Amino acid sequence: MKKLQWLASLILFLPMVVMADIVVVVDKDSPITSISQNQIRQVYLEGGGKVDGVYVKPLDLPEQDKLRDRFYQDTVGKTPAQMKSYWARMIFTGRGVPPRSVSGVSAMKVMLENNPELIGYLPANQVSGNLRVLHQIR
Amino acid sequence: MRNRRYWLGALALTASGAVCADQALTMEELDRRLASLEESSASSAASSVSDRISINGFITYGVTRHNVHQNQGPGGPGPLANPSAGEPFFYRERTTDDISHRELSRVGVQINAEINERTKAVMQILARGRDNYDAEAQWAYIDYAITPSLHWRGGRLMLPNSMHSQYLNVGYAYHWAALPSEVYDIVPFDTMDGMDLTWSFRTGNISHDLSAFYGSLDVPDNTLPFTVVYEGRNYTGINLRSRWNDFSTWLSYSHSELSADLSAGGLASASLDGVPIHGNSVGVQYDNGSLVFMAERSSLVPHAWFPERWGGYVTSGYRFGKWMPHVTWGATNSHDNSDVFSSGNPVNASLTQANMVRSKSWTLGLRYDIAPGVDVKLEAQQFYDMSNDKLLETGSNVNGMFTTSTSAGAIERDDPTVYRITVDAVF
Repeated sequence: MKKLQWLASLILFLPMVVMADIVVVVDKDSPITSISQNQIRQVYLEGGGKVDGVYVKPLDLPEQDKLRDRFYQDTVGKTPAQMKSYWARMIFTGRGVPPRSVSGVSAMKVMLENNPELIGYLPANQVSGNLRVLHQIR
Repeated sequence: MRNRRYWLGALALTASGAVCADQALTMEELDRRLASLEESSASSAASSVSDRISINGFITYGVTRHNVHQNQGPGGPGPLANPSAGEPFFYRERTTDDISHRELSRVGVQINAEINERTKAVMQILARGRDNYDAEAQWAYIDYAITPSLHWRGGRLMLPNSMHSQYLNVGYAYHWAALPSEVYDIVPFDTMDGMDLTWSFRTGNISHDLSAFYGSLDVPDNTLPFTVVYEGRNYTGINLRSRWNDFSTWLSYSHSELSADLSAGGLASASLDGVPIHGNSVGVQYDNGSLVFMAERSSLVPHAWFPERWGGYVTSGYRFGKWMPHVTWGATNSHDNSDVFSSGNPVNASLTQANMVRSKSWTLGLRYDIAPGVDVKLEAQQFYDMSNDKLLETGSNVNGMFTTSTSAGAIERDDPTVYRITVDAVF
């Protein structure tokens, strides 16, 4: 019976967890107020770039984080293996280095809240009052 | 350093403030944050080095062989004799019908060191199985950011001859087990010593990298019975890489003056003295995450006995999850060399005939991504139309990239095929 309850709750909650919206955020003190999907793509593929005339550096969640995989699938349209292949071309020709990875969602929040020049992404329900949402994915 | 201090401060604040502010934050989480706080302050000296220096690498282990179980013919009498008579046919001068574990295998290690905010040093060492894993610097340069979007680099740089040339040893970066030889066999050198200047800019939604280079190269070559050092001077070039959504394009042009002393082999009349040589390349790529399409055409035009040659390919593949089957058609041809043949210099004419290549191929391949950063690839490339019959010069090489001897006799089987299996990784 317990097992059934567990299964039922899993079925109920799993889709919510998996489908949590992803938001692209910066610190409240950043002058940037919005970002297009194409700009997100450029910043993440080039390891940085100008948005509204302000230079921002992107942060990543760790490799194999499900949210990171979805973020790249939805904004850049690439799988983790394709991103790895893309960065191999960039790194080994000296044309760029991938965004810095943080240890997880909480580290992402701490880094963003204290560095207005950084940009990152979080599950929508993890946004604190110190961050500004620039873009919502799904 | 400033960032780290912010981070530490914020972490401490969050950790202490969180106790009353956020009931959901468990003691476990607090402990974890404090632990990582201690860890980062204890190792701050070590991590400042690791922040400045990064090490990346790539490795390929591959096996390859072809299916031509036939030895080269003896050729004619005297000067028409084949010096490689009785030896197997060597695809690209190395691969035979025996399995080679060396030809495709290689390892590269790259060290990036940030010297200050604007300056970094990069060194990439490559060791190839086919060179007995003797290491050689492929990249060794100082990069100075004049502005965030304008970079100057000086030192040893890989030549941007074609679309994939600057990462041609990084197998993980492309879907083939080996880049199409129709294009990547044309220019017989990969690196130069000099500098380049790259400007990154955008026009609307299109990102561009415009790059110009200047340098020189010295390439020892052992394909003749004696060593020849080819000296390229005033090597200049310009290239443009553009990216728009799933499309990217490539354009390049280069010019150099080539010298080589062949008198040691009694071929003084074939020596080169600053002959102009230029190359160009145009390419396009499309990758929407599932469907991949690429096409490229490169050519090299030396005003010497070294024949003019162009090569191109069209490739397409489709990703089914971790599997990616792909197909490629390639063609290469050495065309108009009538200047050499009409000059009345028999040595130059025979060198031209030996270096002429005409060849087409179909490649079928399968890539499987074992994990992000590791793949395995299977590939078969079947060649056809390797005869130079359609050209005016009879007696030219009729075996495409399988031999440079004009007197080896034609390969008898009509399906000469090169097989490859590779495992690639980046780290």
